[in-house]
Amino acid sequence: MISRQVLNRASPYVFIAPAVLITSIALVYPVLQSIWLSFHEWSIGTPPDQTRFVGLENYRWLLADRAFWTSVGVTLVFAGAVVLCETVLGVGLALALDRELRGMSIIRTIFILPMMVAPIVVGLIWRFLYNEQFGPLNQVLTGLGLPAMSWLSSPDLALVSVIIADIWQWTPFIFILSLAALQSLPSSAIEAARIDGASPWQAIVFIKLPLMMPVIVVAALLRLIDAFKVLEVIYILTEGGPGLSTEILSLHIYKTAFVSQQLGRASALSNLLLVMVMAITLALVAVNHLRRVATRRADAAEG
Amino acid sequence: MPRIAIKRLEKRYGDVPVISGLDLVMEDKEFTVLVGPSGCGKSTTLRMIAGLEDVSGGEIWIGDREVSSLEPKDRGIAMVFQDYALYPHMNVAQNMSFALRLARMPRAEIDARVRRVADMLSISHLLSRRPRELSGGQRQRVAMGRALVRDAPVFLFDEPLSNLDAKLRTQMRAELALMRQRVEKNMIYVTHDQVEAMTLADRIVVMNGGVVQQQGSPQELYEKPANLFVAGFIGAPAMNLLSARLVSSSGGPAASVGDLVLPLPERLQDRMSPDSNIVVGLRPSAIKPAGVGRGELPVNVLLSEYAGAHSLLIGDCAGQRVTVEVTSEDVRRGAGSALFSFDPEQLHVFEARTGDAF
Ligand SMILES: Nc1ncnc2c1ncn2[C@@H]1O[C@H](COP(=O)(O)OP(=O)(O)OP(=O)(O)O)[C@@H](O)[C@H]1O
Ligand SMILES: [Mg+2]
Repeated sequence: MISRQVLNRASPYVFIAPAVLITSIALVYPVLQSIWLSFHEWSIGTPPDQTRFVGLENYRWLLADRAFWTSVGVTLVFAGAVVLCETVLGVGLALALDRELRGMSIIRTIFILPMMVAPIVVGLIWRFLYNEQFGPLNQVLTGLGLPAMSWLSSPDLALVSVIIADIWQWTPFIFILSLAALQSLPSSAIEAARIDGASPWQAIVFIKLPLMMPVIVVAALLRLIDAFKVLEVIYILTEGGPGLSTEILSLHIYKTAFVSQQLGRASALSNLLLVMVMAITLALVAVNHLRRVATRRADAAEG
Repeated sequence: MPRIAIKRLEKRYGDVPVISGLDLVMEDKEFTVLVGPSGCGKSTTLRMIAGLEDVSGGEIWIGDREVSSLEPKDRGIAMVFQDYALYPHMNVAQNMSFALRLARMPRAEIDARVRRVADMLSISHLLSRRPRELSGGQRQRVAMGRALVRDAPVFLFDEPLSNLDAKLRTQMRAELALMRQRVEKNMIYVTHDQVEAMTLADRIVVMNGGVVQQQGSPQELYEKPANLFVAGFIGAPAMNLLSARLVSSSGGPAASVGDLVLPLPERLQDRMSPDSNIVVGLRPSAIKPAGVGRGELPVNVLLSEYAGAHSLLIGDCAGQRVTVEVTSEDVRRGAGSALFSFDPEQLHVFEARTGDAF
């Protein structure tokens, strides 16, 4: 007979076992496979038994590759810019639209729409908008007597254009999460702040934003992780060009794997990307945690 | 310190009127309690005074200013909310000092004020805790403290004790009464608990359906309820209300309840038309053992609720339910088993149709 206590203690593990199993098959196995592959040289089309063990050669080659470092730079600029803009815009919109006016729910729904569009379609929409001859953007510009812009073909402007498209698509994500956070705030605390003399701005800065912060941090983190992995929109808009000006890492990986057909190097690249994303995520989580510990200390010191 | 005057105040949500034509005057340093059943518009009235709710019509005067279009912060009020509404991300000291920090008061003075109020409320040892680390009673004190440090001339309370358990509520009620002696302010207190109203108020305003039923001192309301609603609402256990007909008997005015004839107070002579329908009110505590009062009241006792020094007897009098409050001592001696008495002067008489007192 197994005692009841043992059963009780075992039950949580029984319940999470299926999830652990599926995760390890779907997530851990590919990662291990990719790590294994990154130590080998293997081209598409050659049989697996022709793979050759090369040790750290793939990594050494990558770290010496200018294109890799350019791509890292582009990725960081892209991810940093989109997450920053989307967070500021999304939270700002949520704060602005959090009121009970007629038609507000329709406006909110419209703001959410871009997120529902498939990335490929988003790419096509913006390629049309950015088209230098027939695109609406340039037609408006020339209509106003301004010079037409080479949105996607100028190395300086292309990254900005790509960033704008991503902001258009993903600001709604931050927006809906912030709005949900905002609407679940205790309304009486905000009323108390009004009575305590807070202007609408002060209520936002001292009450609403701090209370929304946990949600904002998680939403921004999700966006950050996602921003490191965008592929379709940029692929359709610029294919990474002109030059390498919009070649973010995921696109670089794609090209290494399927254009240059170097699967070993592509795997090494993926692993570096994984490490980067993980490092940044952990760093942000740690900063957030330290901040909380610090306020806690300050509380204790004050009392 | 201002006097608060409310004139023809109205509130509608869409087409639904919640408050219609409310007139109130709250004198300086008066503790006014708005009391009434759930949904009668007490909170709405308070929130309109605070500026958290727009008014649909009428005026609110605080001192010599008409404030109904001013922001809450410009009205000179402090408020304690039913759910305390503490700022969850700030510790107790920060919660209490928030308003002062917004007002850019010097740091030293903020600290001094917070310390003084915290001492007064015995929460000094909690200053570094977050609201979620406090018990309900402690949160309640912090909410009170946050309002007190402001030193605003007007204090608003919306059912501040209703989330506490019975014992703590009694204790906090006493502390509130003490605090009220020390802090001379205009206080408006909303509750649906008539015991709180009776014990705390200088003036009670009884509301029902968005209309003031009666206002006055606790004693006035208890002794001279203006209508059936106030009579039934103020006082615990509630007043016995018996449907009756007015008859004239040799000994003066009288009421017939079933086949029972009760003598009515002499003062009502000539004021009533005979044979009209009336309601006779008699407080449970005004019913005495037989032989004490001039009027006789036979009650068929069905149930005795022992409550320590007193017992409540619930019974049947001429087909209507009656509650009698007697000392447990009387019950033990067997007094008050079937026949009780009362003093006719303590009867309340209401017109059945309008509910108004004669
Ligand atoms: N936002 C609103 N929209 C529509 N009706 C409302 C709204 N707020 C309150 N009411 C209505 O106004 C009436 C008065 O509400 P109020 O909150 O003032 O009651 P109350 O006297 O404080 O009751 P309680 O003792 O339960 O707190 C209620 O009938 C309520 O349904
Ligand atoms: Mg209420």
